[in-house]
Amino acid sequence: MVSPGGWVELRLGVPATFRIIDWREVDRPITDATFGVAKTVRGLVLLVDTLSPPGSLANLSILSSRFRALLQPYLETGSYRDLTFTATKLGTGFLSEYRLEISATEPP
Amino acid sequence: MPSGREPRYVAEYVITRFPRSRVMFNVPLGPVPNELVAEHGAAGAAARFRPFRPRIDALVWDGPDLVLLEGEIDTPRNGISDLLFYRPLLDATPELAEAATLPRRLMLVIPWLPDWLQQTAAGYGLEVEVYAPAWMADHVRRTQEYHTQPWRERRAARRQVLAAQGLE
Repeated sequence: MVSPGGWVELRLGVPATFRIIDWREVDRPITDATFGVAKTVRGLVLLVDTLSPPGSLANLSILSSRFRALLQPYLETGSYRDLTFTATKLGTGFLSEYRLEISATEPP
Repeated sequence: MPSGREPRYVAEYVITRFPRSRVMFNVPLGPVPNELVAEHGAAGAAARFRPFRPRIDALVWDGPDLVLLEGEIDTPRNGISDLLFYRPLLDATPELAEAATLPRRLMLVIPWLPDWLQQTAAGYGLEVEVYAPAWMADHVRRTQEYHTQPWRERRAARRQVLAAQGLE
């Protein structure tokens, strides 16, 4: 699901499939939901070609440290270019988690 | 431990060892109660039951086999018991019905290999892979030195400082 602003919205239990075109690290100010404390977290913004639904460029913001840690080696080595990613949000709120499936992109 | 260290470790290993294979990371295993599915649908039920489902680090489709993969940086013994626990759970995982018929291999990935672990893992039919990237060396050294006298003294001194400031 892509918002009118061009951001991928990962919905609970709904797989989102995409190819990564580009990426960058960002620092995001957030407020801790439990303690109400403001802090800055390092996140990722991916420019992706969405495949479900097909056919549009969009941004995907990732703040989960565990999700980011899974992706980071693929980004840093450049191996993301030949791969297709499917992310599924497993839960919401505090410590939301994601299942990530990766497969080789079929040549056109 | 930073929450991202182990996921990164596992992903790096998978890129190195299975660069073109299909892989799933952070996969919930086991059944979801039918009552929850009836009330909330499959996705809602899975989300509500999430805390009670164990998650395997990765599943890798390697040729005809399905590799159940756990990475353990600090507690390799847990990796053995986790993998033995996960193997039969795969049969009861609704999201993985397509994979349930594949031959299974159990693979434990660790940064260093104690002798006792190699013998135990072999006894259970587990494959053990040693993967030690450069960034891991400092962590392994600190883990091995944690209980030595100089490190105990450093921790005691730190606790004294915190206590003096009313923080512990």
